[in-house]
Amino acid sequence: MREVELELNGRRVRARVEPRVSLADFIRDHAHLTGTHLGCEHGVCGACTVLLDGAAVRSCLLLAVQAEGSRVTTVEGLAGDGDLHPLQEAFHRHHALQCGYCTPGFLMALAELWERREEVTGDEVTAALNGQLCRCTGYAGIVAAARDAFGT
Amino acid sequence: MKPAPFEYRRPDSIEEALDELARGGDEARVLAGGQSLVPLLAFRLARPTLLVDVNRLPLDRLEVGAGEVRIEAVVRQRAAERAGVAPLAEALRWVAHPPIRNRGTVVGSVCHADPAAEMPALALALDGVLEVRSAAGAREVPVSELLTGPLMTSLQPGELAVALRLRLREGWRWRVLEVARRQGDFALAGVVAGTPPDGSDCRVAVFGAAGRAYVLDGPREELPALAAARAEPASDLHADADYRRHLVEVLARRALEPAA
Repeated sequence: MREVELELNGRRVRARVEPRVSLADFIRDHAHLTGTHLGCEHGVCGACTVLLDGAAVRSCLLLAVQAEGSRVTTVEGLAGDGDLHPLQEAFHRHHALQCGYCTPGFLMALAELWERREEVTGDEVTAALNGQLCRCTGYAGIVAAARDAFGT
Repeated sequence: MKPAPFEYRRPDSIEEALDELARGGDEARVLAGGQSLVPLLAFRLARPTLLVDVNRLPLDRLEVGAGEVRIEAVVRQRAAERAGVAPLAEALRWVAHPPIRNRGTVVGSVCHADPAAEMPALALALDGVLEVRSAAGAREVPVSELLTGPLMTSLQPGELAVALRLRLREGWRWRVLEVARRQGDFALAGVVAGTPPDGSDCRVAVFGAAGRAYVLDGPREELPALAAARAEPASDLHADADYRRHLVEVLARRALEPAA
């Protein structure tokens, strides 16, 4: 067992975990934030994407012990109090989700680009979406929402 | 929680890491970006008893020198693709997806030696040399002697790849082309092709078409057919061997076409 402390959505979280616990399981089972979803658990589907020190990563491919001392942002940390984040608003507006299972991953993959949204190109938005799988929407709504949010 | 239990060490110095790797022997694995190793752990295809996490070692520099780029072991693929080295950026855009490249390392991908991956082929094409250390000392391994088979290298237990040097040939133009079922998937087949400025022999490194990446030099007109003849592709549900061999020739020919 190993002590892990990290900053999760601005809050300090600490837990004792086995080294084989993924960051995704740490977030869900130890920090009790269940917005981060697990699909494939081996890096293919992208549902578990979170920001690690501002960079989008697969939380199923990272051990919780590796995130020790890092700043982690999940979908719960995206919006301010009450309001939706502009990316979430765009997803709502364009009906970019059906079952919603993949949505947190899509949002966090795009959230990496949000800070420098003025200079983000259409190709970068497409590349960010490429790594995420959705089994219901056919992607059209998701692409429309992302393009709208970034104005590309 | 899917992996089998293991002991985890996160040393702060290279010497400490080498001691840990020596202690673990062939039961130890190096954890760098983890984008290939962690899935193997999740499937329990790999069951190391000791993981030596090298992410906090002082090995995060990428240096572009005269005719050479040196990439240390924990340089992320995303950092490497933004380093202003054309063939590196060209190859990395084919590697998986941004969230994977945010963690995955260039050196780790070369050492993982997936036969369908871009990085081992790029390293072959650019006369890559791996700088390797162990508790017993240091050695340099040309990438041509590193890749021995699918996911197999000549690295020994206790060894740590600390950096990869790639040669940047003056005036050469490099193109990377591949065909995959979906953007970001491993290639059915692909090529890293270089054209010299003076009309001498071109170079093609091929991935996805044999048990390991391979490289050939030859005249521009003959090289695509030669590259296809060297292929020993597998047939699987994604593509049969004949199609993969065909891809090698077509992709090599396209990649070697003179700039418009």
